[in-house]
Amino acid sequence: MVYVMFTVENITRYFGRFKALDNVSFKVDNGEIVGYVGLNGAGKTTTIRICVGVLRPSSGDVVVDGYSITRQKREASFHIGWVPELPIFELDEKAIDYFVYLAGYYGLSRSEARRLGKELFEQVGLSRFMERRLKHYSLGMKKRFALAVSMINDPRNFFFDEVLNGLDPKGIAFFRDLVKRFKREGRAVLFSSHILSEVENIADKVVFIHKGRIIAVKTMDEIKSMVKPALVVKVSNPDDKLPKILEKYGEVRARDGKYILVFKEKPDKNQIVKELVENGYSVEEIRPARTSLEKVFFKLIGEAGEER
Amino acid sequence: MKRSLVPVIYDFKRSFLRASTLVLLVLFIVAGIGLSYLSYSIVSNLAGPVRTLGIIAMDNGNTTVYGVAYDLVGRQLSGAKILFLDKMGRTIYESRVDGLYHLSFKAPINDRIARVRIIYNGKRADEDVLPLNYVNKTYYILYYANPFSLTESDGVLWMPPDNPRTYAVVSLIMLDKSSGEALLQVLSFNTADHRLKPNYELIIGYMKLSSNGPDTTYINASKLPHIVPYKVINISDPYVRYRVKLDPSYNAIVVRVNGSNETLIIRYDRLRPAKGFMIESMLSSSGLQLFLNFFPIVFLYLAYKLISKPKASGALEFILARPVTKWDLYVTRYVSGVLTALVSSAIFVVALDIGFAALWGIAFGAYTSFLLFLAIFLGLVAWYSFCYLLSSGLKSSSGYLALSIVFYLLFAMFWGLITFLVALQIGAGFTGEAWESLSYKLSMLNPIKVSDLIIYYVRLHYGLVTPIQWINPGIVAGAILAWIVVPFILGYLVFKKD
Repeated sequence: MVYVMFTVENITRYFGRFKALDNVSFKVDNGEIVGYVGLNGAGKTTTIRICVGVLRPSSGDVVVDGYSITRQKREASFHIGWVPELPIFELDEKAIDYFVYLAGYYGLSRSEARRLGKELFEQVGLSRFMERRLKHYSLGMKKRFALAVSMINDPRNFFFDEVLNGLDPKGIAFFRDLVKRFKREGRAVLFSSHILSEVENIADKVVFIHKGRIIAVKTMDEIKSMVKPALVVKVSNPDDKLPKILEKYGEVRARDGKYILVFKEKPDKNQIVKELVENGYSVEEIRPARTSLEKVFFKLIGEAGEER
Repeated sequence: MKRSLVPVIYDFKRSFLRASTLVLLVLFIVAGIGLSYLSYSIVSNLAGPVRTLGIIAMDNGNTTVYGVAYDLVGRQLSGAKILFLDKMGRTIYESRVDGLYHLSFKAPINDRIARVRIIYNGKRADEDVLPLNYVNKTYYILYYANPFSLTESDGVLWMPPDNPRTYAVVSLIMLDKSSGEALLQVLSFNTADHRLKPNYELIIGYMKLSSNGPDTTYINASKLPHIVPYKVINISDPYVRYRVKLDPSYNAIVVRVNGSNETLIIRYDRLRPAKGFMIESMLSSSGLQLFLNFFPIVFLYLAYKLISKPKASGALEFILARPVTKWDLYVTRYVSGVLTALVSSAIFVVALDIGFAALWGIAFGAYTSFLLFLAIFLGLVAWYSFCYLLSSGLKSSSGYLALSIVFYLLFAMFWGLITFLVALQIGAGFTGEAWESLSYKLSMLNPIKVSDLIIYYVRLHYGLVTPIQWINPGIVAGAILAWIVVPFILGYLVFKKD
């Protein structure tokens, strides 16, 4: 049986008269990575801030491991880890001291916190920077520090808010691998990002939010099935005849010297290459198109816009 | 859920153990003691920190002295230096003495002792000298606290039934105005034979004198009007001292030799307790005032550092994602400021007490120390609560700094001017009871000055202020608690809003 780790239940949030979230609901099971996708200002960060208890919803609730974030804040937060997009700390403090301070809220003594701090700093790759003041940390280091703090209580639920933003490739790889590890360990992860390819690579399910409303919740299989299979074909010597040749295999769209083919059935890649070569084309590249999530996303946004 | 004190301790550490707090605390302690020394120097000239009284008998150059060296509250001093000077200020004789002393020395026949000086631990006093006539070829001189002491009054009795006479120097030291506690010292000297012990009785009583008139009066009268008997003291030693209770319904103590008409009347309504003098010097010293007026800046800054700045930058959010509620966070940071006020106040009062004891030779005592501590501590907490409210309510940290500085200037710097203008408007005058009463009333509207109401009780204890009818512990506690609790609660109500 899959135990639901956290559920977002009909949360609505106003900022003054502006409705930032409108009756948002979804759930994340354990061992599940859920991508949270939307345009800037769609309400992703507001949702996550409510989920982790730093912002109260105008109505609705978030239940984490059976605890309500609005009514049982201490208990619910005990089971949550959060890495914000732009972690903000009291920057005059040394990293390890601030870690010990924050660990105090989890009931850890100073010595316990220092011991745990060394372990977690090691895990997130900050062991050499423990004594450094937070104001001297880069954005990537701050995110790693926030992650170390989030892991103090070894929670089962993680919220990563645009965690890949501003990171170098090494940092992106670190967080990508971490999320995959969390999945293997059976943790629930909500992962918001506008790097859709990353979401597509790691998410089991995607929650789409647009203008404060959830417009769809789809598993990756559902997303893939929504998109017609396509191949990207690139030749070094395109001419006017090329579209005509490819039309036999499906709808042709030309972009920047590449030809994207949309198929109704599964295409025979070898047959296409063979025909192109026989017609004197030099084939540089032929691969499946990788923009399924992006397509679905924009399709859904378009539909949501029409509904409104 | 397991709770830890680590966050409170950590916030307290970074509140108290920050350079700005410690530097200012040390600075104010040094300034406090230094400026207390200045006021000590001024006041000690009036009150005389060390005292001696005695009788000198000069017989053809053979000089005999009986005396006692004591401090402002009548404690006998060990190792005091006594100098006998002629009228040109030249030393005729000097000696180290311990408490009650008996000296014999040869002095030039023509050199009359014109001044007696006592020096103890660098403090000195020149005593008042009263030459008497020859009695059996012996020239007698009495000396006692100078008339400007204001804390002690002295007089002389001589007993006619004896022939030759017995002289007695009587001294009354006011110890505590509110309880009427005083010390009566009697130093007797038989002119027939110095070694003879005195043997007579003193009848002590009270009487009411008119508001004018001298501090001490000697009379020889068979009857005295309106004397209320108090006690009878048997004088059988050259030096005796008694604790006496001065009845506040009267204003003078009557000392009468039993069986004779010799009577000495000493007013005590003008006397002020020695300790009161010292306390007043400390209370009014720039040192304490500096601390009370400027140390609140630390708490203005702490509210900025603990709430305003992290709230404005968003740093509080990351803490709020821990297993903690807004109430927990609000209280934790408030408590750390309160602990800083507690420790700073305690350190300052202890330092002031030590400095006071070093200067005057006596400590504040538990009552004064506690009230002073309470006044400083609660005053700082009241101001901190007010700053906490501002820091919780204002979104911009620079806006908080600007507004809190304006309030600080109003409450700490311009309050005297405001009081002055109000007094001018209502015609309360600028001295006396009406002015005092107005000052205390206005202090209730000021978080930095509200603790003046506690200091009022210190002043009252030492008779340094006339009682003000409307001030009572309930009003004082209510005013201070209101300044602490109301901003704290209002601050939370705005803090918990997103």
